[in-house]
Amino acid sequence: MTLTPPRAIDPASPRTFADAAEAHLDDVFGYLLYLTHDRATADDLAGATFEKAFRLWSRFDAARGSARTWLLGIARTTALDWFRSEQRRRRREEAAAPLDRVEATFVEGLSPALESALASLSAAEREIVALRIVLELDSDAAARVLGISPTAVSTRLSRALKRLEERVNQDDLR
Amino acid sequence: MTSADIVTELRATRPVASAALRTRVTALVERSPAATPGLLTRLGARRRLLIALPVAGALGVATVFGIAQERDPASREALPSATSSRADATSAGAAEAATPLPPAGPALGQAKAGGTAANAYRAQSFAATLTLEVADGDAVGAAAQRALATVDELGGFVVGSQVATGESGYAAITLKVPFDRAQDAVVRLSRLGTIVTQDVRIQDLQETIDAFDRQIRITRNQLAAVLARLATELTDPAFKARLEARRDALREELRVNRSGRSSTAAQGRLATIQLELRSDERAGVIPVGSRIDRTLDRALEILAWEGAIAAALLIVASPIALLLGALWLGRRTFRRRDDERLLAAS
Repeated sequence: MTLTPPRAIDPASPRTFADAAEAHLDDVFGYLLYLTHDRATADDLAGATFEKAFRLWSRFDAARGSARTWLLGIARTTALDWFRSEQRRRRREEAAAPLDRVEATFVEGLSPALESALASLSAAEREIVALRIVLELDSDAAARVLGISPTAVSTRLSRALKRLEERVNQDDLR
Repeated sequence: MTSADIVTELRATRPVASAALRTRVTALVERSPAATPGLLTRLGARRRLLIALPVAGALGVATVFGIAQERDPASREALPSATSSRADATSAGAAEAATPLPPAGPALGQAKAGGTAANAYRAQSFAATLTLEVADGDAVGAAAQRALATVDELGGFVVGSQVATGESGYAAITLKVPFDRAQDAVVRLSRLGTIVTQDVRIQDLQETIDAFDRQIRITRNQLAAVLARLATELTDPAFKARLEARRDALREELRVNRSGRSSTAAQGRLATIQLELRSDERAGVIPVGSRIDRTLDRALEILAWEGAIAAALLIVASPIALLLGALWLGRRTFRRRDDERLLAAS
């Protein structure tokens, strides 16, 4: 019996949408998880992201950026739409009755101190941590996803890490 | 815990998508296209149409106009076929060069009699310059001989000629033909070679002749009155001397006017034709192109006009476009800041 070895996929320049999805599914999910701080929401948004990306795949231009950056950009847009709709929904519901905050599940394997510290960050701060630290995007790629300058990316990351460190160490002292 | 520790821990616990999500995405990728889209695919059908339709429209209009103008006989006659004809007359236009010219005889007869009756013919001067290209230097000599024979047949004569044969032959001949044979002469002479330039000038002389006639009549009447007075018994020698002086002046005036009238009428009796024959390839002959060439020329002219119109529209629309661009940029900036506020508050 002859086995056909799996075709090596180059994440930097995927030839098909299937290659791009396979290579970057975890990256997109991880980014959305950090952004929304909710696994179920991240799951839904990741699915919506890839559906949107599938429809827009004909417009992907490898010369303008990698497939990962492109997918993360779509993920961010999808997440922002969700945040806006969530904001409107909360305003309507809070007007009716105050909401009870629900503790969200987050990343498996994180220490409680770090998980708690991450929960205390804003979505914007978690987003920059996800892109630069977790997904290890360089400044330029992260800047493209966020639509800001690489300098602004570095500044935000620095603040987010500093805040994270303070929160973690505050928790440790308790 | 330092930042480095945090970074290490975060990277070690990189999230992984759930099985349900993988299944959902796998179902999606089974429908995926074969390859990374090319430029045309990236543009999308709508954008391709947006670009293709105006271009096709512009080319189509240019081609249709080019063909339509090519089929229009009026526009074919207006082609720059190296023939130019000018008429400089009060009552004659360029068309007179192609229509039969009135004979000078009847007009001259009417003018001599001083008649005031309306007549169909007017005294006119006719001057034409004709430049022709012939095959070679020998052809110049042959064409010049034929030109002289033609003038002779038409009852005209040569005023002056200069003929040089050789590799690049050249001939310049000044001809006079009776006015009523002028058109015939131009047509026959133009057949001697390929027309490079043709210039015909017709000038009306009748008004000038009529003015001379009026002045001659007035002078003759005045002279008759003076002669009648002188024929009577005049007792005053000084008065008689003044009358005689007046008589002499009127006679001189009559002589001058008659001489002017004669020379003006003479201009209308003979037409002058300057004939130039060349064998130089650089004579400037503009070949008349084929039908396809002419259609393409017209189409290019139309395209140039379309380009000018598009440029004018751009100039007019650019302030509006700038304003819209600024509005879009402002909205985008506002939206971005709004998103950042939203994420910062979440």
